[in-house]
Amino acid sequence: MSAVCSLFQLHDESREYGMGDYEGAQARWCPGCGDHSVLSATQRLLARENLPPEKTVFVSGIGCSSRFPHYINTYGFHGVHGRALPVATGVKLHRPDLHVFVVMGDGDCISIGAGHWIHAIRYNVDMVALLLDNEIYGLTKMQTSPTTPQGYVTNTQPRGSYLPPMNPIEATLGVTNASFVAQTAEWVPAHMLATMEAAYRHPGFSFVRILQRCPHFTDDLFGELPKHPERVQLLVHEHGIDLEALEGRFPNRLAHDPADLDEARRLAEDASVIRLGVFFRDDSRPRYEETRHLPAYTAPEKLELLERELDRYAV
Amino acid sequence: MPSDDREGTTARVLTALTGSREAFDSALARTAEEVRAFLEAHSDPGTDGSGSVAARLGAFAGARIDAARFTDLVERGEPADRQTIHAAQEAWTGLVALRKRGTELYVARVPAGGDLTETVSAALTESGRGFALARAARFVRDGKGPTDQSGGHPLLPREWSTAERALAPPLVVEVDGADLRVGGLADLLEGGQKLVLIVRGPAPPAPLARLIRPWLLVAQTADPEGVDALGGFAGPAILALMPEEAAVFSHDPRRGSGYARRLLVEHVPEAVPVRAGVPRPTAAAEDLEHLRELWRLATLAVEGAAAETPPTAVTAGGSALRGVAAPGKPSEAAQLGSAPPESVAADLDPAEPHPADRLAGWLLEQAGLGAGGGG
Amino acid sequence: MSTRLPVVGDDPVFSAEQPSSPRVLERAQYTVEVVSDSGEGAQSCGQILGTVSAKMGNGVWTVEIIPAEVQPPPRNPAGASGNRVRIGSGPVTNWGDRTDLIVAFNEQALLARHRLDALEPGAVILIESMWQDHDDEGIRAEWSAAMEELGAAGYRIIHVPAHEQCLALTENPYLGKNMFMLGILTELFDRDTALIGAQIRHRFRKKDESVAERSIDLLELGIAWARENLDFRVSVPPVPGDRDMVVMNGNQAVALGAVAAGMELAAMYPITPATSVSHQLGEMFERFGGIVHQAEDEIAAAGVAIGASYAGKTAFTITSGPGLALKTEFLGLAVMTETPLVLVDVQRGGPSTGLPTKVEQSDLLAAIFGQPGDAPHVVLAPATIEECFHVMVTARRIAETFRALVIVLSDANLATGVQPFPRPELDQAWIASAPDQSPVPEGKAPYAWDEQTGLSQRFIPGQPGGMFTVTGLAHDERSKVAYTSDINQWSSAMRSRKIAVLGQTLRPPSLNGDDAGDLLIVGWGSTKGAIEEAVARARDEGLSVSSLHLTFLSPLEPGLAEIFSRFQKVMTVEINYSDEPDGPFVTHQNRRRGQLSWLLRAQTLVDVDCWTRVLGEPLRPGAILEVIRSNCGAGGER
Ligand SMILES: Cc1ncc(C[n+]2csc(CCOP(=O)(O)OP(=O)(O)O)c2C)c(N)n1
Ligand SMILES: [Mg+2]
Repeated sequence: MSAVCSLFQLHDESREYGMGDYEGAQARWCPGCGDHSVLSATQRLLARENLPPEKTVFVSGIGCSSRFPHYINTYGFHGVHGRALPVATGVKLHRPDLHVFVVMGDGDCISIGAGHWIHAIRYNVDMVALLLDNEIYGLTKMQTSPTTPQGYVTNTQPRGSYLPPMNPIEATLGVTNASFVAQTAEWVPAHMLATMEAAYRHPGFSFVRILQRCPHFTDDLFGELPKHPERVQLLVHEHGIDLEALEGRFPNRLAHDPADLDEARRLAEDASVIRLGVFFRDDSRPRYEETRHLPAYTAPEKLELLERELDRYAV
Repeated sequence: MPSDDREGTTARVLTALTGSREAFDSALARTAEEVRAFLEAHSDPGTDGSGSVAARLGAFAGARIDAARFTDLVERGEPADRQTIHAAQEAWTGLVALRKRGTELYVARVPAGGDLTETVSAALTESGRGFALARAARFVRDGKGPTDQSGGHPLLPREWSTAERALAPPLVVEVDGADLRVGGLADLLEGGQKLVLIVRGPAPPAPLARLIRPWLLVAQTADPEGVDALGGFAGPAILALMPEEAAVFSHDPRRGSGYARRLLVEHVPEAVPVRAGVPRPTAAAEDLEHLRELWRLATLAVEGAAAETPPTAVTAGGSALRGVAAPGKPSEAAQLGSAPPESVAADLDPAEPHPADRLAGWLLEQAGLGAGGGG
Repeated sequence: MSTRLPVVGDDPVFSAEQPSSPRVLERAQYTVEVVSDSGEGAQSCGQILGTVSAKMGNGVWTVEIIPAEVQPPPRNPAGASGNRVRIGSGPVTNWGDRTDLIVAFNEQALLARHRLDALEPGAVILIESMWQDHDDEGIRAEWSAAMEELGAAGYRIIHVPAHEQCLALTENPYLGKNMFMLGILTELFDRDTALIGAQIRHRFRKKDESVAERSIDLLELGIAWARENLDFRVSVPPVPGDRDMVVMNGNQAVALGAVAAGMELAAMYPITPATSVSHQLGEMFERFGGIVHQAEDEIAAAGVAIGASYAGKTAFTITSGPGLALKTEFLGLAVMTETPLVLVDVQRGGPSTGLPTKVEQSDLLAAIFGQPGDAPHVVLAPATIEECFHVMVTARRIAETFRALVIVLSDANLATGVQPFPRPELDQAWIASAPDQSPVPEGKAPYAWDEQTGLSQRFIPGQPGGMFTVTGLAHDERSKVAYTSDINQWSSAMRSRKIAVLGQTLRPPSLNGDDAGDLLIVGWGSTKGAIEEAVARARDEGLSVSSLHLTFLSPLEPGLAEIFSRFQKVMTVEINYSDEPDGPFVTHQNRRRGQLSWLLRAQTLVDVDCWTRVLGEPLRPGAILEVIRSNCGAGGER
């Protein structure tokens, strides 16, 4: 489907964008915060795909991670806590010609925004949704999040988190019409970039959970992981991600065809190892914004149609 | 093709072209509305008439909002000079008028004895007026002032930009078999251009064969339903609805790389029927031979040296035009297509594109039509 | 047959059995109700009568009588469902006081209306008589008790053997009796049978053709029965007007108005009484390139509308009280980011789930002040169904021009009421044009507030050079998060100034009645017709009363304090709760007042009194007249 907005856009100069073109304000995350590496991977992706900054929109909620749009030079919408997805849906429904990315924290997406999250998966509107999961509430200073590991001590649950954590990959795979579900880690930048690229190229709602270090509050959760590649298993496949460069560092590899939903669910459920890769992908699922795409009309045409409509109510 | 129901056939073809028609139509409408937005922002807000501030505020505001004061305080605008407004208005009127032409914009007829390429070119120049109007209006909008690139001037298809070509308005052409000289169309088949020829009367059997190139969808059929094959294809395409006895084939780039995958021949007549009225028998015979040759090549690629005799009527696997697969799944597409036996088709390496396909891919990329979805 | 047959015309005596030539009662206006158990079709019977009357040139106002439950038990006073149709020679602006004639499918529904004081003394009652001799002893007993109660009230009761009659044409008269009753009304009011037939066919257009045909047979049966058995006819001759008219309800008007405004996205979550706007749009919006998005909840609906507005044309969301509550945080975001947004709140009874199907005007203060933090925005209230159409054009334009949130307050009375009004003279200038996609000049800021007006030009995604991040955090002109205190003071002032500027462009409201006098009634929203009718009657009685109706509630229309100063007493009349001034524990200071009076007192420092009711029905002009009578010459509230 051509997503041209008007003939004017046909004359926009085509030009090559570099990383520098996407540089926004100086990022104000803590030193060592994983959000920094997500930001640079994203900028690299945009440059690689040569996305015009004015045609790209980053929508976020509220949280440390949701500051993201400020630091990237595209259009950005830094909204309210938990509600980035409806805003992004509105943008894409009205303007299919824009490239839409959503950045959410784990509290943002999985807790307060859970309802929207489930429905966004089902709408399958073409956008990339990045869940920056540090397994804690960062901005509000270390409260339990739905993904905080059981027993983990936080300011709201000082005797340790009471319940087993929610598994966002498993949950996403359980929703009807899910079309792209992947997990990556910001301390494996090559994998993260490849994952984002696959997500961007997938037509539909691409859900990417990015495991993210928070040196300030949850250093003990992910901080040591970069030193323990054996705790990570890469899911590899030609239709998913298979990076030669990572072979040496991550010997634990499992061939997984992302077309296999049952296997994807089984792998997601098993928490014995951290799996990075594309769990599931189906490019043919119905997309809401495409189903609802309509031709455009000029004002005089609308008036004529409306006159005809009013005729039905004429006395 | 049922010649007695000409209008019905044209309507059927127009329906098959809905996607590309709507894309062009909608772009015209949106452009017109963008020009109107410009006019709204830059006309003198004090002017009476439908553009006035009072009118814009609506009847509810009528007795409640003091339009003069509103203009004074709020709608201070940046009125443009009269020439600029005039140029924008012209563009707007032109675009709206173009929209009014409806489906007529997408249909042309070659007069008996007329030149097919000329007719097509003229018709595209006419619908392509939209591009000219948009160029002019954009110039005005961007503050570069009115130019002589005014909307009235035609813009020949060869002057369209790559992006414009990608959005090319489709065209249905009714043409007598005697006037089927398609060579000149090759230059027009770029970007997203779709052409459908509805051929009447005695015609050569394989006139489109000479247009076959790796990136071009080329098809001949006698079945009006066959035009649906064009649906969803983003690249350039030409399809002819032919009389019953003509060759039936389709060459669809979506099926994969190599003629073996892309070309599907369902029926090739034995020879050029020596019938009164078949024009230019030599050229007709050459076209037919060309099709056979391609088909033989394709079959050779599939079966190795086994295929000695060129097939005359291959019907296995059903209609040539039905072998259309979901984009992005070339191997499956190849299996849907009938000609290459499955086992052999699987042996072809889908990861290794034909050089011509790489070129085609590059060209499509340039036209903004490359693979890779939106964000 | 009832024994007392009073008060239809001057001569009280009629007979249902032997009409000679029927008496024709000439009336300038006349009110009819049709009530049944829900599902028996009294509503469509009343709606068709109303629509056809409007099409014949009568003034009409219809009000739905809606049971609170979807499936109330049969023959229960709580289940009365139907329609009131007030028909006039000239324009009709409200539902009136009581009904002159009622068609009831059972005596319990009828009793419900009687007990709500909905029937004019001496009203004509056409009652289905099948219950009188019903097999069930209990039902027979209920019937007798009801007849005793009604008989004592002095109505003229006519038995209609509708069920028995309908059996001739259908096995199940419960589905179709309404058409028989419609036939009776058609004959009584001499309605155009071709128009009635067309309405019936339209209503059943999605069903098998035989359904419409059988309905028309039943209609004719009703007409024939009335011809033979009823000794009176009612004539409300239409005064021919010179304008083309259209007839619809307020929600249809909102939907068509949104189209006329050129809007292209409505996001909503179903909630009575707002939902039918989306039904209407669902049928037609796509033909105009518009989308109705049914979101997963009201919060998401607001978010989708904001996202769409941010990226292009102003979108709107539609809801009722509980949904308004949920959208609150997003409304604050729209204000903070200066993203244009139109929200239509079709008010119903509250708080909480309240009275889902009934009218109330209790969301005014929530609409103006309900967003935590200071969130200046615009609140408009259409007063008629015609205004429900036109308000959308103005709301969209204001939202766009001022980068503002505009809340439109409709209510259940407007939403379901049907009224003819002059056909809108459509104007291209109403229709939103495409979002600006031209390059943004270098150095321009996304909130380059004009110091005088607070206005700035928004950047829309797609505009080259305009890349910036909107944020709900306090921010400066460049949309950078504010880290110094003066920025917040300044940006707050800028957002507030826009509303003041809009206020400056408003004209002082015009008065209905004299410019000065004893009493000024102030109203807003759907009560306009009832208030003005009451004022007219009071003035006929020689009382010195005027009225004023507000449509801009934020910013408030100018000059109010000065206007109020010319009256001895000013009071609002509203459909929301207020303490009675002499209620227990109520003092002048602690009295909880009608919402508009609260606002007016704060804004004008005038001691504005109020009279309000939350009866789950529109105000009756007669009740307002009583209020006027007892307050004229009474001075200020004490
Ligand atoms: C409606 C609402 N509730 C609560 C908050 C406070 N709040 C801001 S961010 C946040 C959680 C942040 O955690 P997460 O989403 O995981 O993002 P992170 O900071 O970890 O990146 C909370 C509770 C808010 N801003 N709005
Ligand atoms: Mg977090």
